[in-house]
Amino acid sequence: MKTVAIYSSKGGVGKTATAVNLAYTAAASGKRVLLCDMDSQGAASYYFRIRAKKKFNSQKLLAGDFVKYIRGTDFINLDLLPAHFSFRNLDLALNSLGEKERRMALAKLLKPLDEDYEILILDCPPNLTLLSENIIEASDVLVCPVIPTTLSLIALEQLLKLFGKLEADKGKILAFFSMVERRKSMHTTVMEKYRKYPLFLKSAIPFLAEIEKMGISRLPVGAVIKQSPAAQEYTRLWQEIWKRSKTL
Amino acid sequence: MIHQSPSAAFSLSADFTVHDLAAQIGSGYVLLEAENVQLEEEYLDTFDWRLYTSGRSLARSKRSYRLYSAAGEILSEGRGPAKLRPLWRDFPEGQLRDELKTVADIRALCPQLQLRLNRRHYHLLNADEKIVLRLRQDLMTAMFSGKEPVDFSSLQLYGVRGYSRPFQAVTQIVKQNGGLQASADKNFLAPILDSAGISPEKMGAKFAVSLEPDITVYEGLQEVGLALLGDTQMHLPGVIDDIDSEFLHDFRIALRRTRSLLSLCYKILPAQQADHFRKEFKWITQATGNVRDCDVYLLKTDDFQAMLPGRLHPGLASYFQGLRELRKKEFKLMRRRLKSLRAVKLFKDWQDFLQGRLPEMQKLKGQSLCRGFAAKVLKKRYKKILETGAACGPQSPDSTLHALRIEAKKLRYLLEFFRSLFSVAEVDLLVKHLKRLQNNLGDFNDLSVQQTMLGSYQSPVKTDNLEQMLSVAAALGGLITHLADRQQLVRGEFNETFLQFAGKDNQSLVQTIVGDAMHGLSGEKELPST
Repeated sequence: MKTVAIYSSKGGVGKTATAVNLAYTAAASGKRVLLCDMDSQGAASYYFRIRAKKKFNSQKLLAGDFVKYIRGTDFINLDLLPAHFSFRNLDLALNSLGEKERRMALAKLLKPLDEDYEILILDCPPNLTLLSENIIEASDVLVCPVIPTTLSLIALEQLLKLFGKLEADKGKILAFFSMVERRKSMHTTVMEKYRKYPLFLKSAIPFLAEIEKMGISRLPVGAVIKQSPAAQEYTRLWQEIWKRSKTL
Repeated sequence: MIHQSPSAAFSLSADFTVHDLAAQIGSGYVLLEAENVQLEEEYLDTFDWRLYTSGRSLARSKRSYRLYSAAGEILSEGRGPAKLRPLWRDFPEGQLRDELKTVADIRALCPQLQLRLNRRHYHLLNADEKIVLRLRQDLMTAMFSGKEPVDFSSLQLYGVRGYSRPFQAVTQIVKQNGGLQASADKNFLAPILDSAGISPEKMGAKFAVSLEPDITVYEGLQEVGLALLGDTQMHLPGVIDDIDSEFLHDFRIALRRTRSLLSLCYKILPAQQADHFRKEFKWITQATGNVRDCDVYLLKTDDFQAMLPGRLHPGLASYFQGLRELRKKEFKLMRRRLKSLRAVKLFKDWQDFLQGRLPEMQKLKGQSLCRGFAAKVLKKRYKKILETGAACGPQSPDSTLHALRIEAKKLRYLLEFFRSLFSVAEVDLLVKHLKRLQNNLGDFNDLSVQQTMLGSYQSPVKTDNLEQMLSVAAALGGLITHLADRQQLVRGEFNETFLQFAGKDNQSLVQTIVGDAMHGLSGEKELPST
């Protein structure tokens, strides 16, 4: 099982759209995929029209009693662990654990899922906390969407710094440019400057109306129109991530 | 543990529709038709339904083939031959061919039924318009050759993980509306075959006839004879159409059994009729012999090739090419004989004779009990095997083992004919032990016949090309050497195999089987010691 975290400490960079569309693309390629909605806002769950059961909460998640709350999406091979409002307190709950366990807690929790799934995609909340450290430890690949703007690049720098602090392998960070608007000179300039670094993937996701409309359709872009430009871009992105993940 | 979403299959009454279901689910749910597909498929299987009994079904639409699991899931698919009744060899290399080879082996895949199918997929959506249950309704019309079409409707429910409540609710509603839940391990074609009165399991079953314990010898002969006649008639069309080599093989077994039955009852039948039928059944068996001989060698093509080094393969290929041409010629001759008036008359007369329509047969009624008669012959035949086998030393000619093989076969047929008159478990145990001896004797005989045939049989290869003749001779020489070595090995195993069969355990077993059926019969002798 490969665990792929979609992470950025900055909000609004397209993490959830990326997680939803990559999970859909991976499942459509025949892999058994679980998308874990770790963000208490529950946007990924919303896109799949899935509500968490009332009895589910962050305590149950951390106690390992969460498998029964996994739900099937409308798509073959793709299941979802829905978010719960109580996930906003995950950091507090992690802090209450012993010092030795607290950073590895998530990795330990996710381990039993490898019998059911080949790919685990984590849609992560935007922060730089103990949960972020857990996500770094638990993931095989950390995909970081970067809008070609200064603030977004700062978020990437912060992530690299955190990796340094944790002495984690920076090689598992795969960044890509997200919400790209080629008519904006700043976007093209930033992309030209940074895309030469191996950290950045060749694929980029443009700013497209059909991605924004996911909130209305409540479907991954490929499920609306299979061969739409956005669907094709996410397919390319997934193929590149999958290829790079095998070398890690 | 890998998570499995629940699923269930139901057969539905003709008047039940999925829309009735929608009305009963209640508010908060919507049923949407997602897909509506029309399919027409022809299902193929071997004559004895080997695919079906191994949990598979092969369907084709033009030249597109699909292999289904018992649950109706696609196992493999691909393009295949246009032939009406293909063999596994006719398929292109790949998974489908490999699967068919394993199951169908030497049998041809014959059209068994045509299925016209309207497959409708539905989604049950909750208030968020999320799919919480998938449904698939199949409306089928099955057509079998020589039978009335059968209509059938089934419903498959596929639960979605985390949404068990709608699955349970719909399952309940379907049951309340007369839906019958199919067991998970039952083949999806089973209800259709049941409705058409087809029992695939019986097609591949061994010869079995159930006799009442108090029937007379005449009645026993009649029932066993008619069952065997049914077997010959069942296989004859496949022989004439040359569907696959097993039809002729099974046809000949039924003929051999009939001849064995005739010699068994020879003394109690009117002499004139007995002689006539023995002569005629001998004639028809012989008429099929040459084709079967060719088949036996052709079926061994791969085995023979594996016995020889690569440089002798071209010679062997020429030999088999000649053999195929010879078979073609022999087959034409055999077919003419099987379709002749003489053959038709034989089967008709034999049926009349067995059904007692001839006045001579009436006189036989009320004779001695079949059970006592069978017990006496069984003991006699077992004794004969012990005597013949005991005379087979290491230096005995092959013919003594051949004679023993014939005796063993006679005993085997006898046990099969009258199995139901004795303790079935004990008869089956004796058959199991007898089989081991028969296998050894059969292997020895096959190897002996193969060497004689390869060495002296007029070569089917017609050529003046000296080089080709030499390459064929070299290949055959190589084969004969290999076969002779194997025959020595088999011969070496004979003594122990025979002693095992002739041991005290089997002697007691025979005594137990015949037991009280022998009571009161005169001329009983003790079994000889081995």
